[in-house]
Order: sequence, then C-alpha cells, then structure tokens
Amino acid sequence: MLKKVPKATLKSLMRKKANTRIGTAADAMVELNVLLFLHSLAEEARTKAFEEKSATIKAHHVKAVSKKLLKRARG
Amino acid sequence: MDSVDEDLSARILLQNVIQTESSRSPITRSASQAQFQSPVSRVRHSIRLRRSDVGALTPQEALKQSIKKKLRESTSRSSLPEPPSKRWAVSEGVGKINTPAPATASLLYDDDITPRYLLRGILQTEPETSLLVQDRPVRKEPELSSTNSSLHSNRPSTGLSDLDLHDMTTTVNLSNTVKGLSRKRPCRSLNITAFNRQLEHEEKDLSSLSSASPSSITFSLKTPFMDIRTEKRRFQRKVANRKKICPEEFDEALRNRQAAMGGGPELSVREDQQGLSETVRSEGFTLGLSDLTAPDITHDIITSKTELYAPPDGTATTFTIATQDKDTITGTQIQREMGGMKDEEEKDMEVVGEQNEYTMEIDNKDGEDLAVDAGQREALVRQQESKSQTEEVADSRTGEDEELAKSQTEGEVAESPTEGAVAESPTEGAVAESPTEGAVAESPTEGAVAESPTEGAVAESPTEGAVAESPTEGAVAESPTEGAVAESPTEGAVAESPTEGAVAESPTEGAVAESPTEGAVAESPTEGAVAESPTEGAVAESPTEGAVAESPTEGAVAESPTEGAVAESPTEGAVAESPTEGAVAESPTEGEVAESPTEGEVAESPTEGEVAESPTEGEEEEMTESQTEDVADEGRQVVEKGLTSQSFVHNAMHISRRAYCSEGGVKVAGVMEGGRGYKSMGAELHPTETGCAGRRSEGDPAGEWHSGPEVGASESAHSRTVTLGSAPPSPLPQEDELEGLSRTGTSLGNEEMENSMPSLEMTFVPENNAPHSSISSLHPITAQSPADHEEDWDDVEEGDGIQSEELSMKTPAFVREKRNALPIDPLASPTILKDLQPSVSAGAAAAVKPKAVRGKRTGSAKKDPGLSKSYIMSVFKHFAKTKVSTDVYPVLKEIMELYFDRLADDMMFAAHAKRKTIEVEDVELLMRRQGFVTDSMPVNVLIEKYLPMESRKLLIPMATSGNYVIPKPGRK
Repeated sequence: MLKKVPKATLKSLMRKKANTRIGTAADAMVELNVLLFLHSLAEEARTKAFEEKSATIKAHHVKAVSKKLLKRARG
Repeated sequence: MDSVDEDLSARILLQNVIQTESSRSPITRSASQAQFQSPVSRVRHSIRLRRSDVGALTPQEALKQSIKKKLRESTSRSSLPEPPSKRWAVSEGVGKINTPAPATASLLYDDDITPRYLLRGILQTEPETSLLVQDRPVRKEPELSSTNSSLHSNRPSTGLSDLDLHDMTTTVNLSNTVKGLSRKRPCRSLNITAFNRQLEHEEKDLSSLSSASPSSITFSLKTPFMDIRTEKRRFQRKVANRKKICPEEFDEALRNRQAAMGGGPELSVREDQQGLSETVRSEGFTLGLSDLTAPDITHDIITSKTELYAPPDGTATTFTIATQDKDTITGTQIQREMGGMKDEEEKDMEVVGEQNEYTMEIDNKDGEDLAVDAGQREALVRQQESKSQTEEVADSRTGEDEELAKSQTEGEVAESPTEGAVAESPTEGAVAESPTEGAVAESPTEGAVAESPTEGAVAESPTEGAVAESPTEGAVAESPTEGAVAESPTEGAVAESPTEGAVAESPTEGAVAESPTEGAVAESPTEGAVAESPTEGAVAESPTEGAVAESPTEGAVAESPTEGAVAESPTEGAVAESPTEGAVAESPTEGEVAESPTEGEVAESPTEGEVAESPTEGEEEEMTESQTEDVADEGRQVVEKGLTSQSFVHNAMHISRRAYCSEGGVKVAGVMEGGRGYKSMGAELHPTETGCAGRRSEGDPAGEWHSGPEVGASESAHSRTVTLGSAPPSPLPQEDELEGLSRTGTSLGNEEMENSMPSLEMTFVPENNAPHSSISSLHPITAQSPADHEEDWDDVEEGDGIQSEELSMKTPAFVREKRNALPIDPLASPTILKDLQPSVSAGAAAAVKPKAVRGKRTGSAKKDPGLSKSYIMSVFKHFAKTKVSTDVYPVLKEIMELYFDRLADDMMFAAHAKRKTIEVEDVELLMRRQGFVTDSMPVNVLIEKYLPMESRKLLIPMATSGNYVIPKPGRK
C-alpha cells in the first residue's frame, strides 16, 4: 500500500503564489502526478541500475536518470 | 609539619609503606632470616623486575631510593653476602607489596633504620599514591593472610590482614593503613604470624598474643586517632622491639588510658561506652553501634578503643571487634568511595594535618585530663616502643584522641553552646537549634554519643553557621561527630560542611555521603571548605562552605531527580560555589569571628553575586567590609550590589526575599526556603542520603533521618533547614533557580536566558505568595520539588522567625550565586527576560519550550517544504521493486524540489485562463503534456491504478444509492 501523501504539504508545494487556490480534487490529481513521476523515476532508475549490473538503486543511478525525467516532466 | 605530613601522607604513606616495606622487608629478612632469603630472593628478583617494569610512579621511585639506602646500610651492617639477598628480598618485598602481603615483614627488619625515613619518604611521596591503591591491596591481603599459613605466606597474609585493617583505617584514617603495614612487619619480625592469623581470623586472639598489634588494629579501624597512635606504635614496635614490649604492657597502658579517659571529663560518652565495654563490651559495642553508628564516629572510635582495651580483658571483645570490623569495613567502603576522588583525599590529608594541629592546640587547651591521658599513652608507648618517633606519633594520636574526646564531650554536653558559644551560640543556638534542631536536633538527644554527632551535624550545618565550633574546638571534634551526623542529616551539602570541619572524618564521611547523593561536584566544594576551615578561622569558612556546598549539592540533587538538566545544574552550582566559597568564606572569617555565621551567610550571598558577576574580588572586598558592619545590612547590600551588577531584577528579588525574611519571619523564610529545597530534593535525595548516613553511622543518624521523613515531609524539611542553618535559605533559592534553569534549559535552547528568567521568577515568588503558587504550579511540571519548596516556605515563614535574616541572607547569596553563575553571559538579556518573565510567571519557561519547538517546526516546514522522507522513499521503493540504497533520498529530495518548482509553474500556466484556482482539468492537461496521459492511457485508468479509493471517489464520478452521482459529472 502506498502512503497517502500529506495533502497540506502537497498544497503548499503546489502553491507557488499566495493568491492561487487549489481545487477540491486538484490535489488528488497532483498526487497522481507525483506518483506517476516517482513511478517513472523509479523504473528508469531501476533500469539504469540493472544496466550497471547493480541490483540496488543507488544515488548515482537516480541522478543519472533525473535529468531526462525532469525534462520530460516539463509541461 | 610531621603531623601534617603524616596526615597528608596517610594515603600516600600506605602506598609508600607498601612499596618501601617490600624493600625493607628484604633487608630484615636478610638480617634476621638468612634461610629464607635465598629462596625468597630469587622469587623476589622476579617480582622486582616486574615492579620496576610496572611501577614508574615518582613516589615509588623515592621509596625505592630510600629503600636502597636502607638496604645499603643494612648490608654494610650485616655480612657482605647478605646484601644481595636483601636486595632480592627488597625486590621481592616490592613484588609482594604489589600483592600486599610481603610488605609486612619488611618494616620489622628495617624498622630501626627506615621507619622514620620511610615515614618521611611516604609523607613526601604520598601525594601521588592514592587510597584506592591501598584499598586494593588491602582486599587482596586479607584473603592471602587467611590462606597463607607458612612464614612467608604468613607474612603476606599478615600483611594482607594489616592491609585490610589499614584499608579500613585508611578510609577513616590514613595513619591506620600505615599502622597496618607496620603491624604486619612487626608481626613477622616477632614471628607474630600466628598473631596475625589470629587477628585476621579472630581479632580477639590477637590481644593475647600481640595485644599491641590487635589494639592498634582496632584503633585504626574504629577511630582515626587510635589508628594514628596505633600506627605510630606499630612503627615504634617494629623499630624498637615489639617482642620486647609485652602485649600485657600495652594492654595495661590501654587500660590506664581508658581509665584516664573514663575518669577524665572529656567524654562522658566514652566513659559510658568504656564502662559498657569493660563490663559488657559486646553490649557496649552493640549499643554504641545502634545508638551512635551513624551519628558518632567517635563512638566507633571509642568502641574501637574499648575493643582494644577489651581484647586483653577477655574473649567478649571478639564480638565487639567483629562489630567494629564491620563498622570499619563500612568505613573502609566509604573511604574507598571517598578514595575514588583523589583530590578529596588529598584535602582530607591536609585536613587531617590541620586537625592534628588543632588537636595539639586543643590538647594544650583542653586540659589536664587530655594531657594526662596523652601523657600516659605517650609514656606507655614510649616505654613499650621506646622510640622518639613513636612518641611523636603517640602525641599526635593522643591529640587526636583528646580531640575526639572533646568532640564527644562537646556533643554530649552541647558542643554548639559551649564551644560554639563564640560564634555558634548566636546562629546555631538560636536559629539552627530552634527550627532545625527541632527536627534535626532531636537526633542528638536520642543517644548521648549519637547526639554529639547529630548535634554536631545540626549545629554544624547551622554553624557553618556555627562556624565558631570548627575554629575554636578544632576540626577534630566537629569532624568525627559532625562528619557522621551532619552528613546523614544534612544530606550532602550540610553534611559536607561539618565533615570538612571534621578534617579526617569529614572527608571520608562527607565524601561518602556526597558521592552517593550529590556526586563529585558537591564534594569538591565541601572539600575546599574543609581545607579552608582548618587553616583560616574554621568558623567563618565552615558556614560559607557549608552553604556553598549545600547549594551545589542540593542543586545537583534537585535537578537530577526533577529535571534532566542535572549535569548542567551541578556543574554550575559547583563552579559558582567553589569560587564564592574560596573568596567569600575567607573574607568573612578574617573580618569577624563571632559574626562569622551570619557573616558567612551574608558574605556568601554577596560573594556569590560577585562571583557570578566575575569581578568577584572587588566585590568581595566590599562584601568583607559590609560583613564587618551589620551582617544583615551588609548581606543585603552585598546582595544588592551583586544583583545590581548582575541584574537588577535579581537584586529586587533578593531584596524582596530578604525583606520577607527580615520583616515577617525573615529567618523563617530563609529556613523555609532551605526546607523547601531540602524537601523537594530531600524526599528523593534524602532517602539516598539517609541510606548513606545509615551506612556510616548505621545507628542513630539513620534512625533520626528516617524518623524525620516518617514524621512528615515538613519535619524532614525543617530538620534539613536546621542542618543547613545558615545555609538553608541558599538551598531553596538554588533549587528554585536550578529548577528554573533546568526547566528553561530543557525547554529553551537559551539556557542562560531561561535560567535567569527562572531565577527571577523564583525571586518573585518569594516576594509574593501568589507568584509562588504560580511558580509552584509551574515547578510541578518540571519537578514536584518546587511546589513542595513553596509550601515549605510558607510553613517556615509561619513557624520560624529567628534564623530569618541570616538564612535569608544566606539563601539570597546562594540564589544569587546560582543566578549569577547561570546568567553571567546573558546578564543583559536575562534582565529583560526577567522583566517579561515575571509577568508571565512560571508559565514562561514551559511556554518557551513549546514555542521554540513550534518555531523550529514551522521553520523547518518553511525551510524544508518538501515531502517527508518516509513518503518519498516508501513510494520510490514501492515503484522501484528492487533494493534502494538509503543514499538515494538526498538525490530524490533535490529532484522532487525541482519537480515541484516546475509543477507549480506549470500549474500557473494551467491556471492561466484568468483563474486563480487550479482545477483537476489543469492537472490533467499537465499530465497529458507530460506524457503520462495519452490516448491509450486515459486519466481514469491511472487514477484507478495509482490512487487510493478516497482520492478516486473525488476524481471519478460514481453512482451511489439513490441514483446520486458523486462528484458531479458535469465537466466532461
């Protein structure tokens, strides 16, 4: 089971400007977005780790993949 | 010098003796025993080599040199072939010394030449040596002695036995340890191995075979005085000819002494005890133990003496000896504990030396009885021992005995009034006795012997207040009685002051009691006080010290139980106290003797303030001046000065406190404060203290203490306050401060500021009853003690009024000291805080912590807005479906920060259509742009796949009972 993301924290992260409001279900969608992002990140990192013949995902694996994913996550 | 050196050397002497003895023993062996030498020498060589390798201490080296010289002399005297054997023997002796057993034989051999040298060397080298070392050997020795039956084995065994005795004595009296060594040696020389065995196995037998040796042992064990004499005697015996001196003669001499003692007015208690011991020694001992165990070391000593006397008389002594041995053992244990702190021991040594001096003076003063006794003893010793050295020792011993007797007599009659008359009478008599004595004093009354100690304790604490006692009579009287009694009752701080006065006893007892309850910190102050008392006007110093010592101890104790800040409070208390005591205490003593108690208190308070401030010296001078003037006024002024310099608020508080004390029952208030502090601390700490006291005194003191608690917390508190006498007020403020500090410290990061605040609050409390209540309420949070203290305060105010001013002065001083110590750095800020805090009252401290926490949390949240580590890692691990190293989190954290930054921007972009609210469609669009949502992968599938049901209900319209669709599917 996945943990439930802290809504308050998520909203605070989403709110870059003080005057913006978050819709009732928008945070849930953001949560979904985060989960998808982490999912893609984890899979990419796992693939990277396996490519390097490492069964454990290490920091440098994630770091290597992060640039590509962040670029792809750009809206 | 000799006496001092001896005192100092006592511990060192033991170690040195052990070391030197080995060297001597070989010589003696070579001279006396040629047969054994060859075999022994071989073994010894090995031992020596070991020792040389192992032991590299300077004292040891000195001893070795002296031993070598002695050996050379002995060799020159003896035949040429002998020297090597002697050397070997010496080496062996050293090895044995390591093992404790061998030392005994060496002394006898070298006695003629070495005894003095050894003593000197020991004295010189002693400082390095530590009681601990002695203790170890002693323990080992007893076992060996019991096991060893052959000559060599016997010697070691005897040595062990002696060491055991010495250890006991050492704890009580360093001299005893030396004696034990000497005894061991003489026994061997005399072929007293049998005696030693008997002594070890059965002390009773010793009297008959070697009455002198047993007697000496008993003395050493029971009473330091006796121990010293015995030690000297042992040395003398060893040196001269123990064999020549018949045990019978010793017994006779002892009897004569006893008779003189009994006949002399010195100690009615002694007489009683002696009578008991003579008639029914076993009973007497038992009685003495029960009655006097805790309170009176003197009783023990007496008993020991009686035992010594008794042994010759009959077997009954065996029981008494056994009891004594137990006592001595307990004492030794305590001593060991004490020994743990070398510094303390050193101080003790100094104190002992001072005590010796005092005793000498006292002897001169005291009167014919003592002198006669001493003379008799000396004469006996001389005749028996026939050496000048022994005479000196005997003198010192006699002096000590006399002092002891005096102390006892004083304790019985009413030491405080008579002796204390000068300084004590005012403070103690009135203040201490009435309030404290009411509770505390009672103990003295209980047992004659016990009384002296208890009284001493009570009186002392006040005296420190009583100061007068220590100076006039001398450390000796106070030390024995007070040491035991005071410690038990006072708990720690109070007890220490008396102990200090007691010089020899004080260290052991004080150390013991303190160690359990307070710890190192408390002891240090007390020790310092002790040393000072002897040198300076014992009176003034003792009070100040007592106060100081108490405050730290109390602070430490109170803090530890209640709060967790314990470490801080004790350290602070100790630091602040030590400085104050040194400077402050001295000044008062010098200035005015009679006033000393009050002054001492006053001086302390000012000094404390000064100390805290840092410019102690200048302030101290002022303080001294003020002291010369009216104590109360001075104290107040000083306090005010200190407060002003440190913080006006504190001054105001102190003044208010003083005003309370002076006005209504100022004294009472001070007492109350003391009582509170004691109570709060006391309930918790007292048990431990009582336990300690019980161990030491075993008898009356413990009973008294226990009874006190039973009677009621208030009573116990009173007794405590009484004991504190001059100090009582200080403890309370200190406690309050400590509590406040601990509270603040714990709650807030700014301990100093907080500390200052609490102190202020505390001060405010005294001023206004209501504030007190609030504070008390607050205190309960941190620690129950505060409330109790406040209550005690109220009680004290109502009940007592005499001690008020002095106590109040004292208390303020302590409080000031504590405050000063704590707030020194934050002086400026503290004042502001204080101003604010008073209004806030106790709640401030509590609130401060939460606020700080909140601030930290909020700050952390603001600073670290990211998702929690646990969430990110759990999700990442869930999706990774493989092992994830923990070092991934930092990278993930950075990635998520970047991701959310971009997400927020994208959201704004999504909300670009003149909307300030981010809707689900915006996010969906973003996800589509991000590639998560494609034509082949609708959003609903993702929602159903990834989101829990709670979120899914919000996003996916779902029909419910009644044909209601939630959420409204209007959008799409």
